[in-house]
This record gives sequence, structure tokens and C-alpha cells, in this order.
Amino acid sequence: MKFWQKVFLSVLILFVVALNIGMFTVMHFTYKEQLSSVKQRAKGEAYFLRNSISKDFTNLEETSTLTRDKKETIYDSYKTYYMEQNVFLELWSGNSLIGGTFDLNIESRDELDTVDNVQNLLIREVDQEEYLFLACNLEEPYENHILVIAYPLTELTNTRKQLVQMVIATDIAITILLSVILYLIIRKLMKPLKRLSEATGEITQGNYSQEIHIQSQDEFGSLAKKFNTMSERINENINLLQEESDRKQQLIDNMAHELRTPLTSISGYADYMRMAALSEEERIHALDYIIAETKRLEKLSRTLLMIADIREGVLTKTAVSTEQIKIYIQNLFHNQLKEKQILLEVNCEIETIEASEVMLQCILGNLIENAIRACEVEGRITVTFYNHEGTCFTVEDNGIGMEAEEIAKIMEPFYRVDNARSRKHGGVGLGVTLCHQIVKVHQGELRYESEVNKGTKVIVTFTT
Amino acid sequence: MANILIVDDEESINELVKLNLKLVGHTCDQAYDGREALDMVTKGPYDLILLDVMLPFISGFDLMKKIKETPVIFMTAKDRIEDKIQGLTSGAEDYLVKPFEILELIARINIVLRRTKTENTVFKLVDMEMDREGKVVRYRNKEIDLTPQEYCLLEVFVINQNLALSREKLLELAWGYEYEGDTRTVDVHVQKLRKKLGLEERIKTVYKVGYRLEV
Repeated sequence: MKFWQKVFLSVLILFVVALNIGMFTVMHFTYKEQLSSVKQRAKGEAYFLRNSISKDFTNLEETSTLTRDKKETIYDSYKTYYMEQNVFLELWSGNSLIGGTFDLNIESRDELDTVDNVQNLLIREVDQEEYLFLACNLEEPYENHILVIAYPLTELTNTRKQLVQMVIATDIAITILLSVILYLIIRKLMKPLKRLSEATGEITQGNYSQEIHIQSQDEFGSLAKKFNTMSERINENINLLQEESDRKQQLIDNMAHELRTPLTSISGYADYMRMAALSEEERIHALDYIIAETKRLEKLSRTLLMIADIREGVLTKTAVSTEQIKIYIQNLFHNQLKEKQILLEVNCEIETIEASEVMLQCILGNLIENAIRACEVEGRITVTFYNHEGTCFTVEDNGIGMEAEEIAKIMEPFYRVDNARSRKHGGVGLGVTLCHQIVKVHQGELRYESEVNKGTKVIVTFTT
Repeated sequence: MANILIVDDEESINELVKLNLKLVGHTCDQAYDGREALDMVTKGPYDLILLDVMLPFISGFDLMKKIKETPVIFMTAKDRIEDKIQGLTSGAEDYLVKPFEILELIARINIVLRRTKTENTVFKLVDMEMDREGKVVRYRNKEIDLTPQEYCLLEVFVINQNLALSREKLLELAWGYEYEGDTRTVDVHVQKLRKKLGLEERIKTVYKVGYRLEV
């Protein structure tokens, strides 16, 4: 059963029950009230009759003897009047009946056994109609005479029947009206829930960008707001995952390409040497390519291993002397710098830097190599070690620079700013990725500032 | 035989393709990135373009949209089926995945050229003349009767001139994969060709490799 149906039914049942209890209670009290007023009236009547008859008997006895015929005459004078009123009378003298208007089929006469005064009342059903019976004895010295009065309660029962019918009719009418109104109200209240359920269904189907517009300020409103936030989050996360998986795919594509290219060259040149009749010069030319490509593969595997090592290995930091690093750099790039006539300047504002020495050499080596590649002949490269919210160093060149889009891309593995040129120098396109990995394990930050034709500045900060 | 543009940002591969194509008689131009390639395509008419997909500046697929009439063969490391479909539906004649055998490249180039290029199908060497269109071979201006198998073998030699071909490769190329004959069949046919066409000095036996038609 649906929730709205449950609410609908519970409210409806509760209301109908309450309504009926209320109405029947009112009815019951009304009936009781009416009955008691009838009783009161009967009592009054009985009292008066008892008095009158007793008095009549006394008066009669003062003048003559009170015979049974005389008693009957007195009784008859009252009887006629009360017959008209639709009240039945009966007068007993001891166990013998003086007169009675009861043409009713009454089986037992309990009231006669308990006669004492006017208080004795009895309601009895005779021929499917209710009567109020009242028995009393006359005043002294006629106490052996019993007077019985019977009031029919037809009017009262009729009223009650009519009332019951009215209540049932009202019940049905109100129930129908209420169901319609209740249905409309619940439907309206449930509308946001329906909308929410539909949106959830959509999300299950894979449409993650769902937004629900619910104006109300109630629980549904706040649920809708939370739902919107949730679907937004899910959407964001899905997109992130998608991007991540795209990036992984891209990495695998690139990796396959990087492995395949040198292999194609190597096997191609070997085949070429086997198939063609070559001069000594051509032979060496081909062999050079084979050797260069083999070296490239070797370097690629070495770099990939290094990245994996850095990611998983333990970081052992020491205080590395900047002066020693300076000497290392200058020795390492001596030939390359001379060849391109590039001036390398190293400023050491701090004496030591907390880092893994091997990794520091690696990152600087890569950054300076890139800087040399970016520089024209007679360029200038400045390396500065300094302190600014942690130990920092910058590698700055006045080379060709990069556009903003390129800066975003250089972090990607296998991306090369200038493919042909980079390959000629034996680059494998993993330098910046490697640097990034190193900075990451040092919990540092690597930032690029670059302007086309002005130069590039790499800022590395080690926060720890 | 044909004027071919090679576009590949890998210098070593670009050079390798050029060296081989030169040996089999084609003239080649080389481009190393998308812009350079576009420049050269608009300047000179080429019989065929060998195009890499991942290129600096303009990708091979984008470049393909700008190449109107020249036939194109993609040669790329992208081996996913989606890439292949994209390459072939963009109007390329063929799609070759790296690493490929150079003989395969030559074979595919020939298939494309035979379809698109009609002139210059006569091959001359010393006193021999081969009209590949008419399927006629002359020696000293006299028509020589060659068996279909001999003709096929000669054609394989001409297409892969200056390259040594193993007996197995010759069987595969001239007789087809299904042929289950002995490699000595190749020796017998080579002897016949040498004798009939006076190519004793031209079809060389290469030690431990096979045979090579030297031009």
C-alpha cells in the first residue's frame, strides 16, 4: 500500500470513528434527558392521581359506604380522560382488578410486586413498543389499592429512530466529502515526494544531473535541497572519476606510443640493414639510430622505475649543502652549457636544504635540462636557493617561454612542449612528472610562471 | 616511381621510411609536424601521403580534413578500434599500426598507387622491360613468355627492388599464404627469371637472407 493511501485511510477511519462516537454520545444523552422528563411527568401524574383517587374515596366514605361499584365509577371518571391522553390506567383492590384499560398482551406484572410509593418505575416492551409502567398504592387508609399507569414511549423511540437515520446519513455524506478533500490535500502534500522519487529513479538510470524545484519550507523542501546538493556532488564525483579514467587511458595510450616508437625504429633499422645493400656510411647512420633508440628505451624504463620508487619508497632527508649542489649542477651541465654558450648562475642564500639528496639532484637536473632546452644560444639561467615560508628554490631562464595552456599540460606524463627538439636531446617526456612526484613526497609545491619569449620561472617550495 | 610525403614527428621513423622508400624507387619529402605538413601539402602535388596521427600543432585526423585529393595512408601507434574506424572513415586509403614491417608498408603503398596512379607503369632494367599495365615483359625488344608464377615473382622483385627478400617472404608475396610448397620452388623460379631476362647480375643471392633485385 502506498504511503498516501495509508495516510488517507488512517485519517479517514479515525475521523469517522470520532465523529460517530461524538454523535452517538450526544444522541444517548438527549434520549436519557427526554426519558427522564417523561418519567418526571409520569411521576407527577401518578402522584396527582393517587391523591385525587384517595380523596375521592375519603369523600365518598363520609357520605356512604365505599362499595366496589362506587370505586369503579370513580376509576371510570379518570379513565376516560386519560384514555384521550393515550395513557393507560389500572386500579387494583388487593388482588382483584377494579378496572383497567390495558388491552396489552403483558406476560408478567413485576411492577405489582414492588409497589410502595410513586418511585417505582419500569420500562417494558410490549408489542414492539416501549411503555413506561408506574405502580403505586393509594394513600391511607386505602393502601391495599394499587394504581398502575402506563405511558407509551412511541414518540420518544420514534425521535430516536429518526435521529439514528439522520446520523447515518450525515455520516455517509461527511465521509464522502472528507474523502474527496483529504485525497486532494494529501495528493498536493505528496507531490514533492513523487518528484523526489522520480528524480532518484533518474539517477539510478544514470542521469546524474537532477535538480528538483520545491518551494515549500517544510521537510520536503529541505529534503529537496539536500537532494539537489547530493545529486550535484554525485555528478561532480562522476565527472571527476570520468576525468581520472580518461587521464589513465591517455597515460596508457601515451605509454604504448612511447614504447612502440623506439621499438618500431629499432626493428625497422635492423630489417633495413639486413635487406638493403648499404655503404659503410649508411650502415653507421642506421646503427646510430638503433643505438639512440635503445638508449631512449633504457632511459624511459629507468625514469618510470624512478617514479614508481619515489612514490612507494621511504624518504630519507638530510641537510644537503647548497654549495655542494651548486658544484654538482655546474659539473653536470658543463658541456651542454658551453655548447650553447649559456650562462648558469647559482645563488645560495641559505646554506642547507632539508631534502633527499638524490631526489634534489634529480629535480634540479631535470629543471635545468628543460631550461637549457628552452634557451637560445647565449641564454641565461638563474638558480636561487632561499627561504620564504619554507625552503625554496627557483630555476629561471630567459628562453622561449610557454603559453598558459601549455603550463597546464606539461604536468601530464609524456607531454612535450617541442616534440622533435626534445626527442633529439633524448627526452622521454617524463621530466616534469618526475619533478612533481619528488615535490609531492617532500610535501612541497611546484609552480610555473612563464611568458612567451620572455622566459620561464619554476618555483619549488618545500614546506617541511 | 611515385612522389611521397612522409609526415611523422619521430625523426628516426620518418628517416627509416624515407630510406626504404628511396631504395624501392620512390622520391620522398619529409615533414615533422602538422603545420609543416600542411604547408608542404598545399605547395606540391604528391602521389601519396604517409600520415602519423599524433602530431604537434595539427593532429593527423585534423590534417586529413584539409587534404582533398591526395591518397593518405595513416601510420600510427594508435591501435584502438575507434581510432582505426575514425582514420578509415575520414577518407584514408589504409591504416597501418606501428610497429609495422617495412615490406608491409611497401605492399600497401603499391596497392594504393596501383589504384590511384596510372602513368609510368613501365619498368626498365638493362635490356629488360616490364609493362605492368599490359602484363607484358620484353627482353631485348622481344616479348618473353613467362608463366603466371614467374611474372608474379618478377613483380614482387620490382616492387621491393633493392631489398633482400627471404625465400619465405617471396613465397608469401608471390605465391600467397595458402601455398605450401618448398622454398626450393623459389630457387627454381629465380633461376628461370635470371636466364630468361638476362638478370644474372641483377637478382643477387644474399647470403643467409635470400634474393635481391638490384637496380
